[in-house]
Amino acid sequence: MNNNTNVLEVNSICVDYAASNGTVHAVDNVSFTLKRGEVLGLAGESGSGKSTLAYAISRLLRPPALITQGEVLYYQRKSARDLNSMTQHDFKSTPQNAAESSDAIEPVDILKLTQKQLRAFRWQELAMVFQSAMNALNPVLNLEVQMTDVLKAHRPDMSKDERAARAKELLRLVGIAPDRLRSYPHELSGGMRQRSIIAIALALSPEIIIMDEPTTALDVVVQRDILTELLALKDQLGFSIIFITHDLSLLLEIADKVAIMYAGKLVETASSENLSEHALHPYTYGLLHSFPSLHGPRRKMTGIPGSPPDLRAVPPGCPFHPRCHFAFSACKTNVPTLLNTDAQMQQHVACHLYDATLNPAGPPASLAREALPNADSYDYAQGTAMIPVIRKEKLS
Amino acid sequence: MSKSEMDGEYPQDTAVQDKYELLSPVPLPHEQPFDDGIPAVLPVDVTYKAIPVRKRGLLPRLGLWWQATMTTLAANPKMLTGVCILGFFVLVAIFGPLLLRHDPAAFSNDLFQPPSSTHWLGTTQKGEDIFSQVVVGTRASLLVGFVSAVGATALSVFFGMITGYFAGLVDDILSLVMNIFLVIPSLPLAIVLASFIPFKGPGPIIIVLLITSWAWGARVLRSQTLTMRSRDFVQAARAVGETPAHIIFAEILPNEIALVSASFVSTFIYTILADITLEFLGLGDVSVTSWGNILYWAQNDQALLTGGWWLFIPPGLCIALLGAGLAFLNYGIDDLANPRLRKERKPRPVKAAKKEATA
Amino acid sequence: MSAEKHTNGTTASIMNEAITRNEPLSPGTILLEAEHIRKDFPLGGFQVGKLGAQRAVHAVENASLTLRAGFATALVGESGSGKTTVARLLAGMYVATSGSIRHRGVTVRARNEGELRAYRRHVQLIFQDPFASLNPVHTVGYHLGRPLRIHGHIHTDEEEHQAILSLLRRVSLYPPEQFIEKFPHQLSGGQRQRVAIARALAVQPEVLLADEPVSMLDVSIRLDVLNLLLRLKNEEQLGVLFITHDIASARYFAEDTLVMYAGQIVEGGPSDEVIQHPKHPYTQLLLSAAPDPDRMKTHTQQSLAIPTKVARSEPPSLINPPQGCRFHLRCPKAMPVCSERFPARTDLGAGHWTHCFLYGDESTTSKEVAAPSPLQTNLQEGA
Repeated sequence: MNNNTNVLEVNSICVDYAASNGTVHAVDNVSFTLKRGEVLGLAGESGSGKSTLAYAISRLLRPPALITQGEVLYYQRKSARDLNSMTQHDFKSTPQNAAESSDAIEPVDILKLTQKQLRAFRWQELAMVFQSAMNALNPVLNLEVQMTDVLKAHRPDMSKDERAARAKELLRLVGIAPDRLRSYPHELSGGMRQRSIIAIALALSPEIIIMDEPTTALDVVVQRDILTELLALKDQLGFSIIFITHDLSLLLEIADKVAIMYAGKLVETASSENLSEHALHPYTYGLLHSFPSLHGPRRKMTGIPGSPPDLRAVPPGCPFHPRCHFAFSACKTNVPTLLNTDAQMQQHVACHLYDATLNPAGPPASLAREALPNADSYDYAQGTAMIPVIRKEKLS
Repeated sequence: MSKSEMDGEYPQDTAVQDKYELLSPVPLPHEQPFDDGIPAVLPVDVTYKAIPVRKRGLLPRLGLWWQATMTTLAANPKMLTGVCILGFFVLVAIFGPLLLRHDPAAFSNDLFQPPSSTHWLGTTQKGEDIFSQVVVGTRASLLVGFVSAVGATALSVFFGMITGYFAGLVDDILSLVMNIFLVIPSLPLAIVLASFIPFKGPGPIIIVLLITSWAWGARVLRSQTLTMRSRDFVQAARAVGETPAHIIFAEILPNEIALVSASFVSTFIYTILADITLEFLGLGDVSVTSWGNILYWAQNDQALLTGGWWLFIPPGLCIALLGAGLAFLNYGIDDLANPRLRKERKPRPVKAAKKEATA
Repeated sequence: MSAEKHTNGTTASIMNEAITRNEPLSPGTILLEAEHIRKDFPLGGFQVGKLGAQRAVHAVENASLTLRAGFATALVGESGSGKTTVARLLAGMYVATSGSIRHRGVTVRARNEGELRAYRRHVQLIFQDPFASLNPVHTVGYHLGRPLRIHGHIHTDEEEHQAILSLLRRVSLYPPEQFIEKFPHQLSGGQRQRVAIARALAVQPEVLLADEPVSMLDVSIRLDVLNLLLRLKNEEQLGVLFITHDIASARYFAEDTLVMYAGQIVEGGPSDEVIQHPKHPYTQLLLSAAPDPDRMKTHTQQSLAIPTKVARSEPPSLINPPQGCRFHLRCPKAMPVCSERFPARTDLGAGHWTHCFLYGDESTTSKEVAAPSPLQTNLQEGA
């Protein structure tokens, strides 16, 4: 299977919420690409815009949220269905067979799809798994009805038996015994519910699955099991995953590429090995070092001082600069854009430290706090509680 | 890249609430003695110029509250309508009787006259001016309804919250009482009670209405309190050592004010209508001027059959208008209490976003 | 570190002296002991379960722990393991079905509100959800002032104001004057949790029970709050019980770690000892399932896969828990004896102990288990 082709390209997308006291830029000029069969991890804290971004890509946003600019280009497989016709579809069971021809595939802008095309697009090309399975499953319908519902809506040519067979096959895929097909959601355990959600997402063999914190509410053991299975399924069926979470240490284990978001902006993109070995952005570095380690020496650690900004009052310039120990004068005035630091490393970072024009001295050798002067006098246990919030001027 | 280069000021905003200037981006941790008087060492490059918080007096507090109310009303046209209607009737009740030309109880020689320039709403069979009667009657009707509603709400708050907080035996007994009062239809019960009381007047009506209208609000508040008592902040208050009375009335009740207000307004509507019903049936003091009594006399004098529409339509319209106004008020409280019900305005196109200069 | 206080000659310090504890605690003093605590929540109704007993949720079975001044103990377990119930039992919110709780050697028997309040003056609970543990209609100043008033630490408004400022500074909320009039919805999550900690401190307790204090906070501010708790623990020689599901933060924060499963404490000991050399199969399972980026380089995903028997099953229902060791249905090393009775404590040396038949049935001395048993294999290798 060719892993080097893009399946999704997001270019400069902006999502704004029109609140009564000004506009909130929930997602600000975010661009990234997703390759086939790749796991992209989107990490960020509260208010970083990662969930909004996911909803924007799948066009699930409602007013007052508006996508004000940008495009989301989706590359269909050549042998895939025509998005314009909803009826006759080829049933794909093993996408590896699909020949990736060298002809250029004309990408489609998801944001410009008509309602009809969107219905064809949703769930067949892109599926979503939400955080809480209990929110996604209808408590008064059993599993079979919910799974065949999806099949009925998108594949009217399937007969009832075919649908039941497909539902059983999906359950088997995710590791639920097929005799649980008629169970109600409350009869299933948390892990099984999440697995059934994943099964529903896989019903039409989508190309992209967006998962929004799918395992946060689950036990560590169940989480590990589900993720292992998910990755095995990905290898088997060939879809790509956008995995959204705040748990960066988990992402480093399962994702191929990691994108870090802060206050609606993308601050760093890198492969997970590169990110864990050399994190370039001070925020990423701080985030990586916010997770106490299980092994190794016990050191005093500190998080990042201050707290994530309220999106209604994002600091000017680089939104991270009030919390950044390396901030200098340019950080307060200029908004950093994603810079390609090293073509081979495929690592992009939005930080003025790496901007040769603004920072001729070059980036610091190490982002560790110990490298700063007067490190000894820092009482890390003190913590710093309050970074002032600077309100934006009202939009006239 | 040293700290000394990080000078400069941030743009100030104009909001008064909390503002301070920070003259360096990151406050450095500093030595702090344990018992915290003045810190022993203040680092050189961190200075906070905080605006001291004044303890606000009563008048400025009222001013802020007024401002907040006006803003909410402006944003909520339904509530504004309700407030205007209610306000109008309250003003009529307070000031109306002072500005009347005719004494409402005075018999005149113009018997059964339709509205004219001398009698704006006509006269009754006995020559009383209906307009004056309606204006004076506002006071009695509103007062009885208001007092009953306040009393019933107080009873429902008390019983509902006590029942909800102390589950167990107290809950079982009081719930039983509540259920009894809920099952018996309130208006027929009120009629029966009022007809048994030997003396007539606003007092017995108030008592009767109190007895019959507290149960519904109590039930609602009970279920709300039941959910609230397992909330963390209530548990935390218990852990800190608060007495149950304090927890109920100072911790839980302020969170349920919206519910209590809605319950009060609904009860108010009910008590006004019930009061008018009772008086229409002659169970009130028929010598006191009130809307219900106007209707009673109108019915007595066969107004419908004789075509005297001005005898019953004006008070009827007033009742309907007041009821509608209170219902609007209730809608508004719903909107205020539950932010999810607030309609999101369609977003206006965002003018060219102010992007800061990029590198 | 002693609890000596610096004094200036100002009125503030005179007032502060009035609210500080009279005798400093020497580190290591045993503050709170729970022995063989058991808690059953009876289910309503007339159902008759096994042996004619009424059906109940057997939330906690045989929990014992000790909290000492200046030392933190972590209680690690998944959701539903009963760790929150243990915290609430220690805080006096529930009454234990059996077993005893001793505060400074005196058995705690809170018969009425007054006794309960006196007990709570020494033991305070910090809740998990910073958004729910503060009353949204009251200001920060109210939240901090109430415990001061109730427990009689201050008597005038001016004293109260100073004491509140002092508390806010202790939890690093600067500048404190700005925070007094704020409502909870105006604060960020980390600030709210600090206010909750300040409220617990206002009572001047000896023991802090922190029920997952940082689980609902953003990742980058968790360490700040944990470091704050550490500082307070050191400065005031508090005994801290740190409840969490994240075993890595347990290692960071606490000197001792206890592992809990389905209401039973299965392993305990010094944090490093338990985490580097886990003995109980459940602890081993937890550690292999926890995200660990350092491990990423040496293991592939497949080698980390958990055996199906363990992973697909869920923690048992506590209404009808399995007999004996409650983990035996999922345990890859279960033996027939595991379903008969719960194993007694086995000392493994250096303060490390476990309840597992793999290591012995009776309490043994450290000498006899010095040599590792041949049954001790890691789950990872066994997979």
